[in-house]
Amino acid sequence: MRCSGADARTIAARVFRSGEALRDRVATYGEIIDVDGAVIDRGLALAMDAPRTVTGEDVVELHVHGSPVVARETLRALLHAGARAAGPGEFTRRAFLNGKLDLSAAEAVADVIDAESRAAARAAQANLAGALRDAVDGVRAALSSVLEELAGAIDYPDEVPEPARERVHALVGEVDAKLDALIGDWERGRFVREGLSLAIVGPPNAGKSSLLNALLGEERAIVSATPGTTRDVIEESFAIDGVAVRVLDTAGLRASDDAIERSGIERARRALDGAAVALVVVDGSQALDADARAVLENTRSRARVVLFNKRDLGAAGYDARDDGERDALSGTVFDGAAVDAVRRAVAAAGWHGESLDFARPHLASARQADAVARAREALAHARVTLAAGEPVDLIVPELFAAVAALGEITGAAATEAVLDGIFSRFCIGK
Amino acid sequence: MSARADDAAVIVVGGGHAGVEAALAAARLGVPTVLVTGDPERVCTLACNPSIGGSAKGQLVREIDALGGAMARLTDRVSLHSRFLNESKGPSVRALRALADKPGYVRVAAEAVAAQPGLTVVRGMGEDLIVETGAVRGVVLAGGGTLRAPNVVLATGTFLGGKTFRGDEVRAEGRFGEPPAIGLSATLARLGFPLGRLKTGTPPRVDRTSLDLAAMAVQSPSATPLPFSYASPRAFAGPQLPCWIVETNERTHALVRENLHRSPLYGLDLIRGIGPRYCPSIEDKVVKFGHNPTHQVFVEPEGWDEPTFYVGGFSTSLPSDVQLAMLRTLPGFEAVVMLRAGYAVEYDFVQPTELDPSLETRRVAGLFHCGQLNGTSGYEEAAAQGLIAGINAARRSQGREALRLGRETSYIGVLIDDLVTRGVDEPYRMLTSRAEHRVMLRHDNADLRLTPVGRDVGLIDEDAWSAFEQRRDALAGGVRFAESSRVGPARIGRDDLPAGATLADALRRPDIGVDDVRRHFPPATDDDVAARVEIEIKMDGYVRRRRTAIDRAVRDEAVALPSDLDYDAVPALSREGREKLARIRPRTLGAASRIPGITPTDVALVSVHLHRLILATASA
Ligand SMILES: Nc1nc2c(ncn2[C@@H]2O[C@H](COP(=O)(O)OP(=O)(O)O)[C@@H](O)[C@H]2O)c(=O)[nH]1
Ligand SMILES: [Mg+2]
Repeated sequence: MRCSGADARTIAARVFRSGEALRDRVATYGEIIDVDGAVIDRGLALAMDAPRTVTGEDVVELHVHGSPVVARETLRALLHAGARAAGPGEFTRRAFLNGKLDLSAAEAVADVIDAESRAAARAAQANLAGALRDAVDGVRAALSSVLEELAGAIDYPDEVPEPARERVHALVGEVDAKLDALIGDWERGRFVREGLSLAIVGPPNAGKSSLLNALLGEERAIVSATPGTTRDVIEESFAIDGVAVRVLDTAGLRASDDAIERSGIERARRALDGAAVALVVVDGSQALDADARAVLENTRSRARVVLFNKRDLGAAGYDARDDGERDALSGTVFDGAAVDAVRRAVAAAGWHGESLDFARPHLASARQADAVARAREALAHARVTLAAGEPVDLIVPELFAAVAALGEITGAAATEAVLDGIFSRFCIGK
Repeated sequence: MSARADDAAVIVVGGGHAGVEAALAAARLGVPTVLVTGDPERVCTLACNPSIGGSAKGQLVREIDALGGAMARLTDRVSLHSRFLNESKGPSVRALRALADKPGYVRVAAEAVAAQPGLTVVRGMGEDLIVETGAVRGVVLAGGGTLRAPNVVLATGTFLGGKTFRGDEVRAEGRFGEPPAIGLSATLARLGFPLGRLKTGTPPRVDRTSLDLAAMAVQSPSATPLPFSYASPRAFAGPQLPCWIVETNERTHALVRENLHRSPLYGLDLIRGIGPRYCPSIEDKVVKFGHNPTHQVFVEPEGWDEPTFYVGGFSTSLPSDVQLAMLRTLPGFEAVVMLRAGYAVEYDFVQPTELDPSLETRRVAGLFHCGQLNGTSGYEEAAAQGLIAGINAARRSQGREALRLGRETSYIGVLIDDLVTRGVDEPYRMLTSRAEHRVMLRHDNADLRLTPVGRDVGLIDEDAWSAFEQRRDALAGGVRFAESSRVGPARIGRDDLPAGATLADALRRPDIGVDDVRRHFPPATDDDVAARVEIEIKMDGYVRRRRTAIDRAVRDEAVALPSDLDYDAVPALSREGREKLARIRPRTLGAASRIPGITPTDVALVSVHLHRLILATASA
């Protein structure tokens, strides 16, 4: 838990009790206490003084145990002691405001903070190293260079020759292709940033909760031999190839008279609707009942993975499956290989198994993607205008707009940059 | 001192391009005005080149005219060479450039000043300002004597703390042979204005009869008269003269390099001021662009009867003997007689971030700054600011709201906004690249953009207004006609027009110009109107595309920031943002976002704070 600001140490002193005073960049062991002095947890406090901190302000970090209850209580104690809960992205913003980060690096940090998965963290790290800035700057520089020639030719017609239109056209095309790749990665990378949502559905007792536990590798959901035990939707997350998968274990889908169970089923349906991929589990050891057939039928037209479970007990259901379930998996959740097959099938259904090259720079936010989209729109106009044989005065503003949009990502002002370029490249003036 | 000088409402100090526009405008608005200038016979000197207009600057001159200013009309009366630049590059960057007969320009400007009712000229130099309780009350003249008025426009050009340089010769001068204004610099510093130093230069002048013009490339003027002013007759003011172009060579550059140790800028290190990158001296060109084998030199007449030619592109502050030797290396210059050597001038300027967009200083009420004092270069930039400062000094004395032009309205608006929000770190020259809405800020439509504004202000008289209304209506009629009259199916040039195609459809084709379809217009259509119809139609789509951007900009411009906003109270604002916003005090959220170093986050924080303030006031 991180506390940033001029009062960070004062506030930390109210919630952290220890034999010794906090020293800069030295972790101290002690007790986290609440407003009444009761001990919430034991842990470490690490003070870091401004300005060499993430935010550029005084920072105290409290390292407590991972339990949500402890975390909540510690937060409450901090708030009592005078702290304010950070707004979304506030640490990043402060870091940015204190000159610790440039715009794209700040957004990359925000991504690290938000990243639930290793993949997103890797994407974010590539940006942190300035790879995104370098990539965008490269594109900007190329555009800017031709813009300098065009703008120079307009403002100094006697001295700067107008560049050949074919060259301008070719360059705009090249730049557009690079931006297209950035946007493509951004769109493909959506599930990396946002994670993939997966709903486990199927009749009661098919083994849904057991499968979830197998996927998570630990006991999370309640597994019971009594059908209908899971009445609520359980949400957990795990990673496949570094992509965060948010998995929703649902109540079994079946016709039911029980009011509580019915509301659980209703929620299960909603979870299914909202999920990117459905993981359908049926008991494949015996002939399929009406509930099993219904769920298979209802999920047929969407991205899904089907597991005929309980192979160890038989394969009657699996063997008699419909054509729609030709490529369904068959196995038992107690078998690691079968669970791996489920993982791979989820990856295939979720992102076609394609893995993103995270060594490449990635756009880190919707704002950046929007800026690139606007730059591309301006370039598209420029190409049409160029192709129509219109004069340069109509092309220059579009290129300026594109350079300005890209500048929003790296925080550079278009006009000044282009003017600097003109004056340093061309010897002009009477 | 005349009685009228005593009850002036506006005093303008400085009789250059800024000061004269300011004085004429204020007096024409019916406000008793005094112009203080060193030599009333020598106002509006073209101290450097003979050229007026050019890319982006030509648009400024047009805008001055459309608003009711003087520069365009003065130029048209003495133009000896005019030419459209960028004809092939499209209507929005097409710009007019003229060479003026230099003595003629001074004469017609002095006549305009003398003929202006309500304007009194006082021979003298401003020495000090009278400031009481934060407001200006008048001007103290060098050699004693005071003039009192509640509005003072400073248009002192390069005279504040002026120093000229040629080799190791350093003189206290605002211009060659003219004394600088020292007192005013001290006054401004005492009042707390941040002063900086800038530098500019001028090339040598040569005897025209000593040149072999046959050895040079000729640049011919336009064969048809091209006046700047909407009101000027379409006729040549006098004989049209050509210009010539030559190129420097290795011998020229070698002389520069061999003598750099005698340069006040390089070897002697006498000059601290920052020079303009777009107007480098020949020393700069050789040092910074050593890889260029040649540099262009423009040989331009300075007047119909002037013995001198201006050697454009050859600005230098090397000693006179070196200048002569360098000139001799140019083709056609073998026997050149140098009549006056070039020199550099260094002068004080006041950071224009001190100004409101009305050009009134925030520090001293009633005090207006314009022209090179604000760090600009160029006659046109100076005149444009002078016009706005004069208008606003007059309006202030009449208790009227200041005129502030937005960036979407004009190059003048761009100029002033750039100055007051960004400040300057080198002499500021107008460039088309600075105007993001340039597709709308054209030579042809300056009247549509600004004449209604000039009319509201009171600088457009009855005749000019009805002429404008006629032009505007004829243009609108022409566009309507083009949109409704069918010319297709037809083959025009290389284009096949489908059945039902209108004249406007034809004009939208890049390959088709108004001349190709002239016969489809009603015979009575004026040539100017037809040409403007073509531009309006061709540009329409692009203008509409800009509209969204403009609307967004105008919306941000509509959010006013209180002049006493306490930026220390804005939570989480960066230190740099806080410091800059408090110093520059942008008038609007839009202006705040244009300040260099102000991030979108800063702007968002200020916006949120403002909303909180408004809510708090509303509920209190
Ligand atoms: N033999 C066998 N039993 C299984 C298998 N999968 C689940 N079960 C058992 O079936 C019962 C119901 O499992 P659960 O995961 O709670 O089903 P859910 O209702 O679909 O969540 C539990 O007793 C599990 O141990 C399997 O593959 N083989
Ligand atoms: Mg269950």
